Amino acid sequence: MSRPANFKFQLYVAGDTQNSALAVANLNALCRSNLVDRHEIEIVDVFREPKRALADGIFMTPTLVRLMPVPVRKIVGTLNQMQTVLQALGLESIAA
Amino acid sequence: MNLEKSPELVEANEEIAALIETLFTAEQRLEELTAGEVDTVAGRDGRTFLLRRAQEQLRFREAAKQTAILNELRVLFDMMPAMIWFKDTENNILRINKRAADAAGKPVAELEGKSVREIYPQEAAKYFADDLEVIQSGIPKLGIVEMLKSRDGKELWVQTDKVPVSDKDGKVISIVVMAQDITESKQLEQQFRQVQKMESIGTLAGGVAHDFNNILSVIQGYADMLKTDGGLSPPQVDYIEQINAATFRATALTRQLLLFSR
Repeated sequence: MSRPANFKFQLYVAGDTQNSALAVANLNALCRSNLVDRHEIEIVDVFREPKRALADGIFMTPTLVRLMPVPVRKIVGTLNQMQTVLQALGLESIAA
Repeated sequence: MNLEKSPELVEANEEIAALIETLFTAEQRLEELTAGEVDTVAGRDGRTFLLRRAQEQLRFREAAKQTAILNELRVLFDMMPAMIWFKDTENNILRINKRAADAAGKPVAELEGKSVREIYPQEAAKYFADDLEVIQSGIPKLGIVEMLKSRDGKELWVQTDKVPVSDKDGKVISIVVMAQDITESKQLEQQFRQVQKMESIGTLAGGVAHDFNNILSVIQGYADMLKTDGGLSPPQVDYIEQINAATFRATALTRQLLLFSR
Protein backbone atom coordinates (compact mmCIF):
# COMPACT_ATOMS: atom_id res chain seq x y z
CA MET A 1 0.00 0.00 0.00
CA SER A 2 1.49 3.35 -0.97
CA ARG A 3 1.89 6.01 1.67
CA PRO A 4 -0.30 9.10 1.11
CA ALA A 5 1.57 12.09 -0.30
CA ASN A 6 3.24 14.56 2.06
CA PHE A 7 1.73 17.98 2.50
CA LYS A 8 3.87 21.08 2.40
CA PHE A 9 2.36 24.37 3.58
CA GLN A 10 3.43 27.94 3.76
CA LEU A 11 1.43 30.24 5.96
CA TYR A 12 1.86 33.95 5.39
CA VAL A 13 1.10 35.95 8.52
CA ALA A 14 1.48 39.51 9.75
CA GLY A 15 3.30 39.36 13.09
CA ASP A 16 0.97 38.37 15.86
CA THR A 17 -2.14 40.13 14.57
CA GLN A 18 -5.35 38.44 15.62
CA ASN A 19 -6.36 36.80 12.34
CA SER A 20 -2.81 35.63 11.70
CA ALA A 21 -2.54 34.08 15.15
CA LEU A 22 -5.89 32.35 14.59
CA ALA A 23 -4.75 30.98 11.25
CA VAL A 24 -1.58 29.55 12.81
CA ALA A 25 -3.59 27.87 15.55
CA ASN A 26 -6.18 26.52 13.12
CA LEU A 27 -3.59 25.14 10.71
CA ASN A 28 -1.73 23.43 13.56
CA ALA A 29 -4.96 21.88 14.82
CA LEU A 30 -5.92 20.75 11.32
CA CYS A 31 -2.57 19.09 10.73
CA ARG A 32 -2.56 17.47 14.15
CA SER A 33 -5.89 15.81 13.56
CA ASN A 34 -5.61 14.98 9.84
CA LEU A 35 -1.99 14.91 8.74
CA VAL A 36 0.04 13.40 11.55
CA ASP A 37 3.69 12.94 10.55
CA ARG A 38 3.14 13.85 6.94
CA HIS A 39 3.18 17.57 6.74
CA GLU A 40 5.57 20.49 6.82
CA ILE A 41 4.60 24.01 7.78
CA GLU A 42 6.62 27.12 7.15
CA ILE A 43 5.40 30.32 8.69
CA VAL A 44 6.36 33.48 6.79
CA ASP A 45 5.95 36.81 8.55
CA VAL A 46 5.35 39.54 5.96
CA PHE A 47 6.53 42.17 8.46
CA ARG A 48 9.92 40.48 8.53
CA GLU A 49 10.06 39.34 4.89
CA PRO A 50 7.86 41.69 2.86
CA LYS A 51 9.77 41.07 -0.36
CA ARG A 52 9.15 37.37 -0.16
CA ALA A 53 5.40 37.85 0.04
CA LEU A 54 5.51 40.10 -2.99
CA ALA A 55 7.63 37.63 -4.95
CA ASP A 56 5.23 34.81 -4.06
CA GLY A 57 2.23 36.88 -5.06
CA ILE A 58 0.74 37.07 -1.58
CA PHE A 59 -1.48 40.14 -1.31
CA MET A 60 -3.25 39.52 1.96
CA THR A 61 -2.52 37.90 5.30
CA PRO A 62 -3.21 35.40 6.61
CA THR A 63 -2.79 33.32 3.43
CA LEU A 64 -2.20 29.61 3.45
CA VAL A 65 -0.35 28.18 0.45
CA ARG A 66 -0.45 24.48 -0.25
CA LEU A 67 2.81 23.85 -2.12
CA MET A 68 2.55 20.07 -2.12
CA PRO A 69 0.82 18.17 -3.45
CA VAL A 70 0.55 20.19 -6.63
CA PRO A 71 -1.34 22.11 -7.91
CA VAL A 72 -0.48 25.00 -5.61
CA ARG A 73 -3.53 26.36 -3.81
CA LYS A 74 -4.01 29.52 -1.79
CA ILE A 75 -6.55 30.09 0.95
CA VAL A 76 -7.02 33.54 2.45
CA GLY A 77 -8.38 33.94 5.98
CA THR A 78 -8.26 32.51 9.46
CA LEU A 79 -9.06 28.91 8.36
CA ASN A 80 -11.89 28.96 10.89
CA GLN A 81 -14.27 27.04 8.60
CA MET A 82 -12.58 23.70 9.04
CA GLN A 83 -14.80 21.76 6.60
CA THR A 84 -14.41 24.31 3.83
CA VAL A 85 -10.66 24.41 4.36
CA LEU A 86 -10.39 20.61 4.27
CA GLN A 87 -12.39 20.63 1.09
CA ALA A 88 -10.19 23.29 -0.48
CA LEU A 89 -7.08 21.36 0.48
CA GLY A 90 -8.46 18.10 -0.87
CA LEU A 91 -8.44 16.50 2.56
CA GLU A 92 -12.13 15.88 2.81
CA SER A 93 -11.87 12.15 2.27
CA ILE A 94 -9.15 11.80 4.89
CA ALA A 95 -11.14 13.73 7.47
CA ALA A 96 -14.29 11.73 6.80
CA MET B 1 0.05 84.91 3.44
CA ASN B 2 -2.96 83.35 5.04
CA LEU B 3 -2.61 79.64 4.35
CA GLU B 4 -6.15 78.84 5.37
CA LYS B 5 -7.53 80.85 2.51
CA SER B 6 -5.08 79.63 -0.10
CA PRO B 7 -7.20 78.09 -2.90
CA GLU B 8 -4.50 75.47 -3.63
CA LEU B 9 -4.60 74.33 -0.05
CA VAL B 10 -8.39 74.14 0.04
CA GLU B 11 -8.27 72.05 -3.14
CA ALA B 12 -5.55 69.77 -1.74
CA ASN B 13 -7.52 69.32 1.48
CA GLU B 14 -10.60 68.31 -0.43
CA GLU B 15 -8.58 65.88 -2.50
CA ILE B 16 -7.09 64.30 0.64
CA ALA B 17 -10.55 64.06 2.22
CA ALA B 18 -11.84 62.32 -0.89
CA LEU B 19 -8.88 59.91 -0.90
CA ILE B 20 -9.43 59.01 2.75
CA GLU B 21 -13.09 58.41 1.99
CA THR B 22 -12.15 56.09 -0.88
CA LEU B 23 -9.63 54.28 1.30
CA PHE B 24 -12.18 53.71 4.04
CA THR B 25 -14.78 52.46 1.55
CA ALA B 26 -12.22 50.11 0.00
CA GLU B 27 -11.20 48.86 3.36
CA GLN B 28 -14.80 48.27 4.36
CA ARG B 29 -15.45 46.38 1.12
CA LEU B 30 -12.37 44.29 1.68
CA GLU B 31 -13.48 43.44 5.21
CA GLU B 32 -16.87 42.36 3.84
CA LEU B 33 -15.28 40.24 1.12
CA THR B 34 -12.92 38.51 3.50
CA ALA B 35 -15.39 38.31 6.41
CA GLY B 36 -12.95 40.33 8.47
CA GLU B 37 -10.43 37.51 8.36
CA VAL B 38 -7.61 39.51 6.82
CA ASP B 39 -5.01 41.55 8.71
CA THR B 40 -2.88 43.06 5.95
CA VAL B 41 -2.98 43.78 2.26
CA ALA B 42 -0.05 44.37 -0.04
CA GLY B 43 0.10 47.41 -2.28
CA ARG B 44 1.22 47.21 -5.90
CA ASP B 45 4.63 48.45 -4.81
CA GLY B 46 4.90 45.55 -2.40
CA ARG B 47 4.33 47.58 0.73
CA THR B 48 2.27 45.93 3.46
CA PHE B 49 -0.75 47.79 4.80
CA LEU B 50 -2.14 46.86 8.15
CA LEU B 51 -5.94 47.16 8.06
CA ARG B 52 -7.53 49.52 10.57
CA ARG B 53 -9.18 46.81 12.64
CA ALA B 54 -5.92 44.90 12.95
CA GLN B 55 -4.16 48.14 13.87
CA GLU B 56 -6.65 48.71 16.66
CA GLN B 57 -6.28 45.13 17.87
CA LEU B 58 -2.50 45.48 17.94
CA ARG B 59 -2.74 48.80 19.75
CA PHE B 60 -5.15 47.33 22.27
CA ARG B 61 -2.93 44.31 22.80
CA GLU B 62 0.13 46.51 23.17
CA ALA B 63 -1.67 48.65 25.75
CA ALA B 64 -2.76 45.51 27.63
CA LYS B 65 0.81 44.25 27.57
CA GLN B 66 2.07 47.58 28.92
CA THR B 67 -0.53 47.48 31.69
CA ALA B 68 0.49 43.93 32.56
CA ILE B 69 4.16 44.97 32.70
CA LEU B 70 3.29 47.96 34.88
CA ASN B 71 1.26 45.77 37.22
CA GLU B 72 4.12 43.30 37.45
CA LEU B 73 6.54 46.13 38.20
CA ARG B 74 4.15 47.47 40.83
CA VAL B 75 4.12 44.06 42.55
CA LEU B 76 7.92 43.88 42.43
CA PHE B 77 8.17 47.46 43.63
CA ASP B 78 5.96 46.70 46.61
CA MET B 79 7.79 43.46 47.38
CA MET B 80 11.23 45.08 47.63
CA PRO B 81 12.58 44.86 51.19
CA ALA B 82 13.12 48.62 51.30
CA MET B 83 11.15 51.82 51.32
CA ILE B 84 11.41 53.19 47.80
CA TRP B 85 10.05 56.30 46.18
CA PHE B 86 10.65 58.41 43.10
CA LYS B 87 10.54 62.16 43.29
CA ASP B 88 10.65 64.80 40.60
CA THR B 89 13.05 67.71 40.86
CA GLU B 90 10.40 69.81 42.62
CA ASN B 91 10.08 67.58 45.71
CA ASN B 92 6.88 65.88 44.48
CA ILE B 93 6.41 62.14 44.96
CA LEU B 94 5.90 60.41 41.62
CA ARG B 95 5.84 56.80 42.83
CA ILE B 96 6.06 55.26 46.25
CA ASN B 97 6.06 51.63 47.26
CA LYS B 98 3.78 50.10 49.86
CA ARG B 99 6.46 49.73 52.51
CA ALA B 100 7.32 53.42 52.30
CA ALA B 101 3.66 54.42 52.29
CA ASP B 102 3.07 52.24 55.37
CA ALA B 103 5.94 53.98 57.15
CA ALA B 104 4.35 57.32 56.32
CA GLY B 105 1.03 55.97 57.59
CA LYS B 106 -0.91 56.68 54.41
CA PRO B 107 -2.18 54.67 51.44
CA VAL B 108 -0.05 54.78 48.28
CA ALA B 109 -2.80 56.55 46.32
CA GLU B 110 -2.81 59.40 48.79
CA LEU B 111 0.91 59.96 48.47
CA GLU B 112 1.62 59.63 44.76
CA GLY B 113 1.48 63.02 43.10
CA LYS B 114 1.75 64.85 46.40
CA SER B 115 4.48 67.24 47.43
CA VAL B 116 6.75 66.16 50.29
CA ARG B 117 5.93 69.57 51.82
CA GLU B 118 2.36 68.37 52.36
CA ILE B 119 3.39 65.06 53.91
CA TYR B 120 6.36 66.10 56.03
CA PRO B 121 5.93 69.88 56.42
CA GLN B 122 8.72 70.11 58.99
CA GLU B 123 11.35 67.93 57.37
CA ALA B 124 10.58 68.72 53.71
CA ALA B 125 13.14 71.51 53.41
CA LYS B 126 15.92 69.33 54.86
CA TYR B 127 15.10 66.40 52.54
CA PHE B 128 14.94 68.73 49.57
CA ALA B 129 18.35 70.22 50.38
CA ASP B 130 19.79 66.71 50.10
CA ASP B 131 17.89 66.16 46.85
CA LEU B 132 19.14 69.40 45.35
CA GLU B 133 22.70 68.27 45.94
CA VAL B 134 21.99 65.09 43.96
CA ILE B 135 20.03 66.94 41.25
CA GLN B 136 22.75 69.54 40.75
CA SER B 137 25.73 67.20 40.90
CA GLY B 138 24.10 64.21 39.20
CA ILE B 139 26.07 62.06 41.66
CA PRO B 140 24.25 59.57 43.91
CA LYS B 141 24.34 60.17 47.64
CA LEU B 142 24.67 56.81 49.30
CA GLY B 143 24.46 55.52 52.83
CA ILE B 144 22.89 58.54 54.54
CA VAL B 145 22.14 57.27 58.04
CA GLU B 146 19.52 59.17 60.00
CA MET B 147 17.11 58.71 62.85
CA LEU B 148 13.42 59.27 62.28
CA LYS B 149 10.55 59.21 64.67
CA SER B 150 7.89 56.76 63.51
CA ARG B 151 4.17 57.58 63.76
CA ASP B 152 3.92 55.86 67.12
CA GLY B 153 6.92 57.76 68.43
CA LYS B 154 9.44 54.92 68.11
CA GLU B 155 13.00 55.61 67.04
CA LEU B 156 13.53 54.43 63.50
CA TRP B 157 17.01 54.31 62.04
CA VAL B 158 17.19 54.35 58.27
CA GLN B 159 19.97 54.17 55.75
CA THR B 160 19.05 56.11 52.64
CA ASP B 161 20.46 56.11 49.12
CA LYS B 162 19.50 58.89 46.74
CA VAL B 163 20.14 58.13 43.10
CA PRO B 164 19.55 60.61 40.26
CA VAL B 165 17.66 59.49 37.15
CA SER B 166 18.67 61.28 33.97
CA ASP B 167 16.98 61.66 30.60
CA LYS B 168 18.85 60.79 27.42
CA ASP B 169 20.50 64.22 27.38
CA GLY B 170 21.93 63.64 30.84
CA LYS B 171 19.60 66.09 32.58
CA VAL B 172 18.43 64.87 35.98
CA ILE B 173 14.65 64.45 35.81
CA SER B 174 13.93 62.56 38.99
CA ILE B 175 15.43 60.96 42.04
CA VAL B 176 15.04 57.45 43.36
CA VAL B 177 15.21 57.25 47.11
CA MET B 178 15.75 53.90 48.78
CA ALA B 179 15.58 53.74 52.53
CA GLN B 180 16.33 50.65 54.56
CA ASP B 181 15.24 50.16 58.13
CA ILE B 182 18.48 49.51 60.00
CA THR B 183 17.03 50.00 63.50
CA GLU B 184 17.88 46.45 64.55
CA SER B 185 21.49 46.54 63.38
CA LYS B 186 21.83 50.02 64.85
CA GLN B 187 20.67 48.67 68.22
CA LEU B 188 23.09 45.76 67.94
CA GLU B 189 25.85 48.20 67.12
CA GLN B 190 25.03 50.25 70.20
CA GLN B 191 25.01 47.11 72.35
CA PHE B 192 28.37 46.11 70.91
CA ARG B 193 29.79 49.56 71.71
CA GLN B 194 28.50 49.25 75.27
CA VAL B 195 30.17 45.86 75.65
CA GLN B 196 33.43 47.25 74.32
CA LYS B 197 33.24 50.16 76.74
CA MET B 198 32.63 47.85 79.67
CA GLU B 199 35.55 45.71 78.59
CA SER B 200 37.97 48.61 78.56
CA ILE B 201 36.67 49.83 81.93
CA GLY B 202 37.26 46.33 83.27
CA THR B 203 40.84 46.26 82.02
CA LEU B 204 41.47 49.68 83.52
CA ALA B 205 39.89 48.68 86.87
CA GLY B 206 42.02 45.52 86.99
CA GLY B 207 45.20 47.52 86.48
CA VAL B 208 44.23 50.13 89.08
CA ALA B 209 43.23 47.46 91.61
CA HIS B 210 46.64 45.78 91.40
CA ASP B 211 48.54 49.01 91.89
CA PHE B 212 46.18 50.03 94.67
CA ASN B 213 46.66 46.70 96.43
CA ASN B 214 50.40 47.23 96.42
CA ILE B 215 49.98 50.63 98.05
CA LEU B 216 47.57 49.19 100.63
CA SER B 217 50.08 46.43 101.50
CA VAL B 218 52.69 49.07 102.24
CA ILE B 219 50.27 51.00 104.52
CA GLN B 220 49.21 47.89 106.33
CA GLY B 221 52.79 46.62 106.63
CA TYR B 222 54.05 49.81 108.26
CA ALA B 223 51.01 50.05 110.54
CA ASP B 224 51.71 46.49 111.72
CA MET B 225 55.38 47.31 112.29
CA LEU B 226 54.40 50.34 114.43
CA LYS B 227 52.12 48.13 116.50
CA THR B 228 54.77 45.43 117.03
CA ASP B 229 57.49 47.91 117.91
CA GLY B 230 55.47 48.84 121.03
CA GLY B 231 55.86 51.94 123.17
CA LEU B 232 52.60 53.38 121.93
CA SER B 233 49.98 55.00 124.09
CA PRO B 234 46.55 53.26 124.14
CA PRO B 235 44.96 55.96 121.93
CA GLN B 236 47.85 55.55 119.44
CA VAL B 237 47.21 51.78 119.34
CA ASP B 238 43.58 52.59 118.65
CA TYR B 239 44.61 54.88 115.75
CA ILE B 240 46.62 52.06 114.27
CA GLU B 241 43.63 49.73 114.60
CA GLN B 242 41.58 52.30 112.67
CA ILE B 243 44.25 52.39 109.93
CA ASN B 244 44.20 48.59 109.78
CA ALA B 245 40.42 48.43 109.60
CA ALA B 246 40.35 51.04 106.79
CA THR B 247 43.03 49.22 104.77
CA PHE B 248 41.12 45.99 105.27
CA ARG B 249 37.99 47.58 103.82
CA ALA B 250 40.00 49.07 100.95
CA THR B 251 41.51 45.64 100.20
CA ALA B 252 38.03 44.14 100.05
CA LEU B 253 37.05 46.87 97.57
CA THR B 254 40.04 46.25 95.32
CA ARG B 255 39.23 42.52 95.39
CA GLN B 256 35.80 43.39 94.03
CA LEU B 257 37.39 45.53 91.33
CA LEU B 258 39.66 42.62 90.38
CA LEU B 259 36.67 40.29 90.19
CA PHE B 260 34.85 42.77 87.92
CA SER B 261 37.82 43.05 85.58
CA ARG B 262 37.85 39.31 84.92
